[in-house]
Amino acid sequence: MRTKEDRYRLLLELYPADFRREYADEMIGVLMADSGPVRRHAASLLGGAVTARLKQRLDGPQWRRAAFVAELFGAILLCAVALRRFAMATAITLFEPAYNRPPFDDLNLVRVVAWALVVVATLTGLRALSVAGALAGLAVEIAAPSRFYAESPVTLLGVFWIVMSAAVVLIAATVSARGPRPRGWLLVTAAGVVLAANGFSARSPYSTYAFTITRAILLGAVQWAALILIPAAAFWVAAGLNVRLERSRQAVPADSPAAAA
Amino acid sequence: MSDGPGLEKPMREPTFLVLTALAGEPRHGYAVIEDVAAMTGGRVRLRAGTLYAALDRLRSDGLIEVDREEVVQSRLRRYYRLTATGEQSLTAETTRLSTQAAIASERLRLRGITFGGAPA
Repeated sequence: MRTKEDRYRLLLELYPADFRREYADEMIGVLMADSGPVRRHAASLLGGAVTARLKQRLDGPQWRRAAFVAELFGAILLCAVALRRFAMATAITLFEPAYNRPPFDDLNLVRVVAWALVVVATLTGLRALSVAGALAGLAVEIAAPSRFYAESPVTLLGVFWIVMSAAVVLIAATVSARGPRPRGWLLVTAAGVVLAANGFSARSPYSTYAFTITRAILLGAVQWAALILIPAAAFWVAAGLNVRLERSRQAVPADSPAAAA
Repeated sequence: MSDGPGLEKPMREPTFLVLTALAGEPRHGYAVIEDVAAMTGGRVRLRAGTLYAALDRLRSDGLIEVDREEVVQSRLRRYYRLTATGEQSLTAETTRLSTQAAIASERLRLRGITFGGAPA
């Protein structure tokens, strides 16, 4: 039968090793001094463990710089993807008039403006503007596929990476620290131009519809959970690995060539 | 962010309460929880996770430090105390809160509401 102390020790296992080494003993003392049930402290221990592990990952000022890069490159990418849709719509209007589709989608216009605004605001350090733009952009990225979700849920899955990217840019915009333009920004912008221009090669407004869908199979709770949790877990793991990488780099002496990288 | 002192964000209540608890005398974790509960008339009952997240943060920010360690009933008991920086920080926050309370109190007085000396 597990004693109260055993259960507290189990919860403390959730904390990172450093934190446990420093505080576990005295925390057990505090926890055992309280005659109340284990569940009284359980939630705070869970939250404390997550906070401690998050602090480990957001170590030092570099992560704000990383957020800046993610925000800038992410916004360039999302703007390019939105512009590509314009290019596609223009190409179809010009080369396939039989389809008779309205050339410009109002939602897409908002999207293009929003992401372009984020790029400009990021470079000029106007946080309120970049957050507002990212919020508008994310709203459109969600609204656009939602129009077709009931008929064809798979369209949402196809563009979910765009929705996730928009969420990342929004989060990054709230915490980023402005800095000089990151190396490779020219390359990323050029890639964005190529991506957008590629839209002109579109000739059919429908990608692949080999059959008519009679009954749409909507996403279930597990699938929604996976869509949200897997990117979050990927971030968690990547951030953890990155911290280890940074720590091993810091072990390199400051004046060696490797440290200049 | 390195803004001037006037632009610092207001302190969160748990932080303020923990610093106040340590301003009286060096205390260990459980004593801080009890002191905060007494101060707030039972309203704020700090849980272990929240307390140690705060203690760790305050330590790394240099506002508190370890005063001494004891072994009581074969358990480690660590006492914490305010540093000079912690004292400054608590003073600044107390001044801020007092100023705001004084303004509110004066305006309420003009509306005919009087305040007693001690809390209810």
